[in-house]
Amino acid sequence: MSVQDEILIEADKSAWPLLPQERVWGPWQLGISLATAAAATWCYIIGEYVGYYLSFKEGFFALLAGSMIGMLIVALAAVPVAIRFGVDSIASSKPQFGSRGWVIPAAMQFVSIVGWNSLLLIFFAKSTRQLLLALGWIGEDSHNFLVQATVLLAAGLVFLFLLKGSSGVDRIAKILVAHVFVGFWMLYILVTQRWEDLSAAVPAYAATDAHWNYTTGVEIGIISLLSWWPYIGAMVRMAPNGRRAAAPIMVGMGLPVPLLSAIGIAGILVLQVSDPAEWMRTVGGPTYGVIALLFVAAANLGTAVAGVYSSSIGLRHFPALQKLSWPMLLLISIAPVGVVGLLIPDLFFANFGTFIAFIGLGFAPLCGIQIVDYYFLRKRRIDVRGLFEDRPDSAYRFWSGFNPASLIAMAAGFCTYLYLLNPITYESRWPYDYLTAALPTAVVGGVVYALITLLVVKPAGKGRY
Amino acid sequence: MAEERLQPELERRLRLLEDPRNQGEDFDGMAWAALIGLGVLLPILALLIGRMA
Repeated sequence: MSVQDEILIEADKSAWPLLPQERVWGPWQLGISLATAAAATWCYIIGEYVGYYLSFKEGFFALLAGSMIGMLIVALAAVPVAIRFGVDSIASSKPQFGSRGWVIPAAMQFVSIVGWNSLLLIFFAKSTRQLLLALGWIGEDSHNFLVQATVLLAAGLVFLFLLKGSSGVDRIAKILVAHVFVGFWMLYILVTQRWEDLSAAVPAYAATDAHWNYTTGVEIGIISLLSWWPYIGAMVRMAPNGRRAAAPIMVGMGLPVPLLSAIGIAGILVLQVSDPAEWMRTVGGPTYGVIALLFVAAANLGTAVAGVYSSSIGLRHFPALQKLSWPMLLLISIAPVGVVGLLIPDLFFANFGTFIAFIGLGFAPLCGIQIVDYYFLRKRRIDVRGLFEDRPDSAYRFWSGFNPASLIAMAAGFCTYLYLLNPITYESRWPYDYLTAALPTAVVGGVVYALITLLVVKPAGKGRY
Repeated sequence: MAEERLQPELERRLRLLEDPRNQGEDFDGMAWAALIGLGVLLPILALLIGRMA
């Protein structure tokens, strides 16, 4: 292996910016990788939550609208810097948060990816249990052991896939993208065999206000796609320019969620269960159940691989972890997932709605801040050295490495979201019914950031504006 | 980021990327068309269809 090859492999496992010759993913390769990352069984859970409030058609279109809006917000926030300099999402946030303040988005990234991966692997474990129970291979008493053992097995597989860096993401994406089509086949089966039931089904928890139900469907779509912020930088940095990345991002990462969530909406409306491994068995017998389980396994492993890769690259920004071996870094990313899977699988799984609302609460203002800063305040001028340096004269040093504008704007965003929508009870206040909670939160975050930057940061000569 | 000197390989990469010719291009017209078409127009259409459903 040449020295150049070794450097390339090293760069792939680090947070270093990638050079043009290293950014070789074309539109298809990027689109497939993004689709594999986006298409996971969280889609069924997202669909399930929408199906609580809306009919099949309404739910699908509300989720489609929300998902594409959310995808656009993430694409405008993190992608421009990632695509220009070959950096991940965390590096893209340094011009706003500072040469030390980036630990805030890094912590959000880590918690969010651990949360999603826990959800995926627990879902996979539960599906496996359901199927083995149906086949009569296990008894009811094996529940605890099986769910936890399956989570650990899946975490081990993710670790092995990623030992060689992003090539593991690419390789597994090429194989597992087939699961997207299996998902559509499952939806076809449910729609064709149970269309009358589906048309007549009434959402179980629909509010009396139809407008609120519809807005909540859109909100769930937006905040679900805001979850892609932590993932997207590490993946789009493999593409050479914005032209090659824009359509694959919107189609590959944006569209699979509403399309596959339709499976969850249909499942919860007709059979009161969103897990296809369970309802496919009801509809088509054990054979269909096995196919569905294979789908669930493929979908979740593909996404977990992309997630663990992204969070490991994000961790590289921490000085203490810069020289840590790649396997150890992977272990740090995966271990919390194993802990959640072992200790609190049911508690975590039951609180998905709260988890996703907190995603919106955190990432909506972050995206608003990034968009305003890049397009309006900096007018696309970024100091690439400042993304990696932390000296007193560094571009994004601000005050001791922190930018008060982003901290206050984040706090304003949190308050806005909490005012509009309670993440735990989903009680809302005006104008949630008309604007959702995530969109005003992003706007408030961006506006507050711009005001403080123009009134305080820029006059103080900080942040290299 | 530590205040110490950057690693030599990172330093080399930053020097190269400071030259705009080595940077990736931002979204161009085609990219903006895809972003607006799929991120603005499609949601508007979906919202209208969903309300009529």
